[in-house]
Amino acid sequence: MSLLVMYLSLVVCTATLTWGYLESGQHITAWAIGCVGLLWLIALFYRRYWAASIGLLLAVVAAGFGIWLDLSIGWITAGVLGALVNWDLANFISRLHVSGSKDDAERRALEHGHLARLAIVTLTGLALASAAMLIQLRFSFEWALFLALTSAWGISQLVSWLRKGPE
Amino acid sequence: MWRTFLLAIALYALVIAGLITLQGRFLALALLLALYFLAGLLHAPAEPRLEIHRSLSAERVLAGTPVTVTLTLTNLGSALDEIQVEDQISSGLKVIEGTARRMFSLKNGQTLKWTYTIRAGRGYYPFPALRVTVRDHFGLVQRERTFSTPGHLFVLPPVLRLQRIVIRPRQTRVYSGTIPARVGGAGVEFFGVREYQPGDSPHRINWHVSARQTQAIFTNEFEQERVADVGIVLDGRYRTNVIGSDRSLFEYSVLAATALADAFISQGNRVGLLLYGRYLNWTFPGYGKIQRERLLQALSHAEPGESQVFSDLAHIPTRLFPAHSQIVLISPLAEDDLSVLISLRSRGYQVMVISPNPVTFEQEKLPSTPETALAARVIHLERRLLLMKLQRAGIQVLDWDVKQPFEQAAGAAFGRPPAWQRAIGR
Repeated sequence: MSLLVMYLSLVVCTATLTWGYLESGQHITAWAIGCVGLLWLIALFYRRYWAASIGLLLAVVAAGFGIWLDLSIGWITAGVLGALVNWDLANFISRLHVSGSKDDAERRALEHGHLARLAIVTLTGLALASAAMLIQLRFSFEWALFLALTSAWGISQLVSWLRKGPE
Repeated sequence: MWRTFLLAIALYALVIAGLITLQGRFLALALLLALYFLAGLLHAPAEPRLEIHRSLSAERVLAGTPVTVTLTLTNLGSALDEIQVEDQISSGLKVIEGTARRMFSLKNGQTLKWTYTIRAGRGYYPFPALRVTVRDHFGLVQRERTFSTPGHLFVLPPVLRLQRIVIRPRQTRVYSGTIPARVGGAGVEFFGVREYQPGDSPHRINWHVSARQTQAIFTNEFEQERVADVGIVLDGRYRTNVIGSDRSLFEYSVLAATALADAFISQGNRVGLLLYGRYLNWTFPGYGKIQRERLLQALSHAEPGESQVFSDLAHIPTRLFPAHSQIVLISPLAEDDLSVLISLRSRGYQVMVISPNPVTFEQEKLPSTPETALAARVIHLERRLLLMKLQRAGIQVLDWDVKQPFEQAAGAAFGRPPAWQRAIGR
């Protein structure tokens, strides 16, 4: 099941980003994304799960470039969502392989639990992202700078907390 | 942790891009990743608190016997969404059923029991610990802890039953046994005659001798049988045992040492074992079943090894062996061992050499060409010469072709001859 969703998410990611670029006439970039998607698929097929990490980064870069080029935000969001799901599932499947668990019932239970949580998080994220795109606020430069610094500080705190580990 | 950094990099990039370009769409996209990041963080696992118990169906088995390992885990802490448990087993153990590594989720207070079956060749296999890794739902935060669950498995070499091995050390111990002690007294074999002393059984009077001597009566004396000190030296030198890169005669040497140790212990002797290879491993001499177990455990540990110091037999610590006792060396032998063995013999030790034949062992795997045959013949002659020199020095030698079962080879060379052969003096 996870394997199917992983491949499906990769197809969604590649197809939506490619379509988004094709729509705006960026044929070369669209073909490049298609080729990267194909390579990504081949790598996953041969159990090179690390390829999903490179794929996620490339998808984020492609999405950022797409926003800058004023592409349709729907395709871009779907692309990043697909890449995120694929990255998550590739890692989960690799963990399952490493664990060498052969108990089918146990494996199924783990997969179901993981997919359910992933679905909740991604759907909530999608809803929030959609809401954020609808509600557009305008900030002054000072506010933007303050928000930037606060966000950077907040994320740094989170990462350092994560590295130390929660008490 | 690299996953967290990767996600953080993507997140930072989107946030910074959004702030630089003042485009909310970057931030909206970042929200997607941020939510995933936070979900993982919120469910970061606590320090695992587990009660772990491992049991083995047997801690001492013969090579090739399957052993079932049962692991029981009880979660004493908070629920663990994803827990991966790996039993750190030695590389020599082969899992034949089940798996030594599993991933599952464990609720608070839940107990999980699982079994797997292993098989191994001769050796000592410790089970030091269990490595537990707990993760959040998305594998962003993980904690590793090692739980010490000491256990071990001895896989003993097979014990071949030998017939009585005849040894005659010059000195025996005081306890009665089966080794002729070169001292007159109570026994079975005729030893000599002496003048009758009050208390001697009339059945022992030698009437033929007494009839010839008018002054006194003479009685027969028999040879006392006692136990002896036997030191087994197992040669584990790499240069004599390992042929080519992977083929080793050492397993055959261990097989012979096990069979001999068992035979000598069964005869009531006091047996010690010296493993001579990378280092010296001395099992102090002793009697009985406990000593037999000690010797078997030492032999299960034995491995060939290389050392500059112990590259020849000159460093055998003779002080470990009582004077005039029996020494049994199990070694494929190198040319420079001759002088050491002769020196041992000259010090009064009764020396027996069991030598697994490396020439036939190697020749078996080589292509059968005239050159190989000629080379084998030359080396075989050199080896025969070496063994003959040893025999001339009064050392008992068994040139053992490992294709032949050891019990047959040893029985023919050192066994007690049948009664009819002894009767005709053969």
